Amino acid sequence: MIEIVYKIGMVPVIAVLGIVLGLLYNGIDRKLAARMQSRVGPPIIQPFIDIKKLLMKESIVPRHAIKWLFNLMPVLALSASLLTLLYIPFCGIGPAFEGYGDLVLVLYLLVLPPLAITLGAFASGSHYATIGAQREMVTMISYELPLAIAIVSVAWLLSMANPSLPVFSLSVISNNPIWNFTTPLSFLGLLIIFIALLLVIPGELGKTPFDVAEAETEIAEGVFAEYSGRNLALFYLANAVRTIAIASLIIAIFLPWNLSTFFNFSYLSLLFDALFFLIKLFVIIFISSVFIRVIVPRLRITQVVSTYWFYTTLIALLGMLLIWIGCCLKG
Amino acid sequence: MMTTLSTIRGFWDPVLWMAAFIIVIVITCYIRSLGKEEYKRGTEQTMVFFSGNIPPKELISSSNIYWGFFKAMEKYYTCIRRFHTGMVNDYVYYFIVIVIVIIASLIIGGVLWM
Repeated sequence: MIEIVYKIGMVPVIAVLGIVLGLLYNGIDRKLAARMQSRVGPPIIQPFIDIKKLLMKESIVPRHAIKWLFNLMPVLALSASLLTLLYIPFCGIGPAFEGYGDLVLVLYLLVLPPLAITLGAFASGSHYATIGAQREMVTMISYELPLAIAIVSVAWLLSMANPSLPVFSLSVISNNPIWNFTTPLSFLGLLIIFIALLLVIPGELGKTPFDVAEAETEIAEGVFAEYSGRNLALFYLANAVRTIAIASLIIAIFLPWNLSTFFNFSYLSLLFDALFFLIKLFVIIFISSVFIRVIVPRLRITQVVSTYWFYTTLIALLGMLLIWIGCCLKG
Repeated sequence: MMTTLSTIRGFWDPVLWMAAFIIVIVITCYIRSLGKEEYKRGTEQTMVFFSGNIPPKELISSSNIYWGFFKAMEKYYTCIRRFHTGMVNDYVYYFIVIVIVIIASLIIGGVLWM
């Protein structure tokens, strides 16, 4: 019972930490992207200012919108994003809900925010938002396939190494770094899977070059065209928290090491592990969000589908095949 | 905990999930309550954005919603339509081929021998 009370007590702590870190990394992301484009860029605390500004603005509901659905979806998007964080190892410690939800649950929770964005856009009754919602759904359908292949490959590799392990448990995955179970061939396969997952992140987060659902210059923010004020602020927060959740998931699967495993920091180990986690988070967000966004322009929706369904899926399948061959050769 | 549902490999606790979901909903609603609620109802402000023009009176129908799917995944639908011949014989062939693929995968994967 005490354990359950402790876990419930962790919910607001993780929620606040997720929101603050999400906004902070969003600010760093924008600053770095600006620097890479030879611009000064906004201050790092700009996302906090944006949220404050949005909360002061009117929250308009279009006259033909389905009001309750239009207002409910931003709440659902942020709630689902915060909930995801509870099942993922975070800040160098295990998941807050360790033993109460696995990787499959996390994947389902990750689907909820884009689904909420889509429903909210359809509910707005706007033409631009409808086009954006269609694009959001198509993007979602596209990246789910390589994502599923990558996750199954990782779980498969772990189950081949130790069939008795609950391979979809994130604490098990992070406590048993998958790189330790590889042969040279399956190591290469795993590296390819890692790259495929890094390509999935910008699609999941709706970042350039996969931001076709928003596409400011074509469909005037698309899915968010009719959202303003506090509703838009909630979507903004949901996106920031989801960035942290997805990056943390990648870290838990592929880069689970802590500094305290290698060095003895005695009572400071938790602090050093948390700092090391923040560095890994920065690296993952920089590669998959900032770097790709700056070097590649926005794709057309048909290109998004072919990129994910063809190229990324092919990459993920190649990785899976190499893992399988590697495991078979190992016996 | 007794409420944890588990399969061979997976597990989740819907009761704890629901409790956490209620808490995050409360947090989200609190953040939402910090924002401004009012807006000018019934004015031009509530018209949907249509690049500065008056939006058409017709509302968006469900057939319009599917247009985006067909357009974005045109290649996929073109390919899939070729299989939809309407001939029952063809569908039985597809069924047999898929069953063979599944059984072959299970045999190669060693699942059938476990």
